[in-house]
Amino acid sequence: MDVATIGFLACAAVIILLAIRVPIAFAIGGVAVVALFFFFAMRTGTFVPDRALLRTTSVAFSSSFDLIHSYNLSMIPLFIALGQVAYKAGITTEIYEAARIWLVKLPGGVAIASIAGCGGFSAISGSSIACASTMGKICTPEMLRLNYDDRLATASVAAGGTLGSLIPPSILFIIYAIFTETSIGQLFLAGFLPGLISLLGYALVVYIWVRRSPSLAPLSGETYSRQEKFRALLGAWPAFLLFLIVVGGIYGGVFTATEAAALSLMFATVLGFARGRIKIGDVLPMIREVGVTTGGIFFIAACAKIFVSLIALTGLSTNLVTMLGEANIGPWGFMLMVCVIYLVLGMFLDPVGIMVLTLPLMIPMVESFGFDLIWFGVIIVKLLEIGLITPPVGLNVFVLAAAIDGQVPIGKIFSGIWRFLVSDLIVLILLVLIPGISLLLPMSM
Amino acid sequence: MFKRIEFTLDTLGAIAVVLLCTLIVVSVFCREVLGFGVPDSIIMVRELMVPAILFPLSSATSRRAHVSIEVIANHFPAALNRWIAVLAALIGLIIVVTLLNSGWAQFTKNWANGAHYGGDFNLPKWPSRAVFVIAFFFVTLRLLQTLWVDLVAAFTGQPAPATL
Repeated sequence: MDVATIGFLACAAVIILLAIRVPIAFAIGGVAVVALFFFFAMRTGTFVPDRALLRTTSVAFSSSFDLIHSYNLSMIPLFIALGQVAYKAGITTEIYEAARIWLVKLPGGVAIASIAGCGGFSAISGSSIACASTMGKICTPEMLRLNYDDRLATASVAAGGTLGSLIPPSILFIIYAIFTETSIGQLFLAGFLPGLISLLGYALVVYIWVRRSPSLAPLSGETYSRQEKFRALLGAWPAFLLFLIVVGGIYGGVFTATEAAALSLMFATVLGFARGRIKIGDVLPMIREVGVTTGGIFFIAACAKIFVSLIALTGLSTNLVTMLGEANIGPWGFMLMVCVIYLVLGMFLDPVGIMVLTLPLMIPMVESFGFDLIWFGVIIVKLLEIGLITPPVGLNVFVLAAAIDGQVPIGKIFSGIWRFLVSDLIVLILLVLIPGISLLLPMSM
Repeated sequence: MFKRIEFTLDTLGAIAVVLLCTLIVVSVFCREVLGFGVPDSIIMVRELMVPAILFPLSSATSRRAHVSIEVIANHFPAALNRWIAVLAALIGLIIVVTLLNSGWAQFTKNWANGAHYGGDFNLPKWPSRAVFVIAFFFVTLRLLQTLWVDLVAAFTGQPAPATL
């Protein structure tokens, strides 16, 4: 058996195991270890298991340990913890309140405020799922109380939650950076404008939807003076400051992304203490939960790193690049293929799983077409975001339904989602056709 | 017993996160305000990452919190899914035992030759390897328990418990 066949068989085995509900980390890691063993054992033409065992364990250790033993990646637990602490410290609620007071008079104002709140939360936390879950607890019950249509009250937050992956900081960008060896800071900056455009697109969807059917979002009788509006805006200062630390610090070259994560977390925690919303005894239980989430993400990534070693050793990606060259599909044909693959995978798989499974094979092909990896990263994250709200597995929809204790059925949430998907597809086309949207900020660094 | 150990591991992991956050903040403060850096802070953060990430894995395993894809398997008969759970635990054991074995080899090697990082403190390399081994030892034990519970469920036709 030649080495490329081992690589192809390993990929096929992973796909089958994933389909039958074997956990992603186990499927990728288990198959990678077995395939590496056969690769090393049969390398010289004769089967030598002793030497193969040593080599396999050595590759498995170095691939996984190097990933975990990383200074830069310490920002992942820090940003996930920041989301939790910001919620406990009341920072998240203040963002939403400020947006609500300013936008309440617009058609569907509270839904637009919820999307803006999601944007604000995304700017201090890196996870779409955390965003949908946290904002779902704050915004959706409020909209339902105001007699907003169930579909609008839920779909706007589920879609808004996806901003968590695009607006910096973003866990997906960090994982993308690991597998492509690109700059995390540049990726963060590249995601900012596309995130903002996505946010405006969602707000426009709500505006048009409610303008056409005003009964979906009864206008609130609440009125606020200019003074109250500015007071609400000033009340959200911690969120602005956190955003300034993360984006301003990286853009200005004052901090690295890791340092920005640590400073933001420390600031949010101290603020929580000062406000009496977080007690010393709350810190460890909060971070313990963060540990379980982070450990799961890293275990998948560590197993994927072992799989990447297998892909590199078997030369599978080189074979794919050759096949792609022979197929003569051209760069735009390739981009179309990428979009279709990620949109389909997004319907069934979680974003981290898709990324770690596909990037090792995809990146050599992307490089062969000479595409900018930062721009490609933004496209991939946008595609993964879309996957978070597409049926049947749209994770954000399920997370939101759980956050509001199933008050609105899953099917009803999905029925409101398609309008936001249209907006997402338009934004995606813009991002593909105009790379400058993504590259403007990183290029100006 | 297991629960208490996992609670301790989770707490140690959380402490590691708090420590690495504090270390980075102090390091930035010293660099920007006092004009000097904390020696070996990058090495110490990297060492703290190992318990921060790996210690909670045993808990995640006991909660069956590893991410998987449900869409297709949801249409399978319950009996088949119980056997798939057994297969999943077996495949999990392949990777976890490999990591445990390789971690142990690295730990003993670093312990024996007194390997250390460069830098001001010459910090030894073995503690993070020891943490790696401890973490995967408990994940292995949890997976063995999972395998046993799922095997019993598959043979008896009874649903396996959602958490251990």
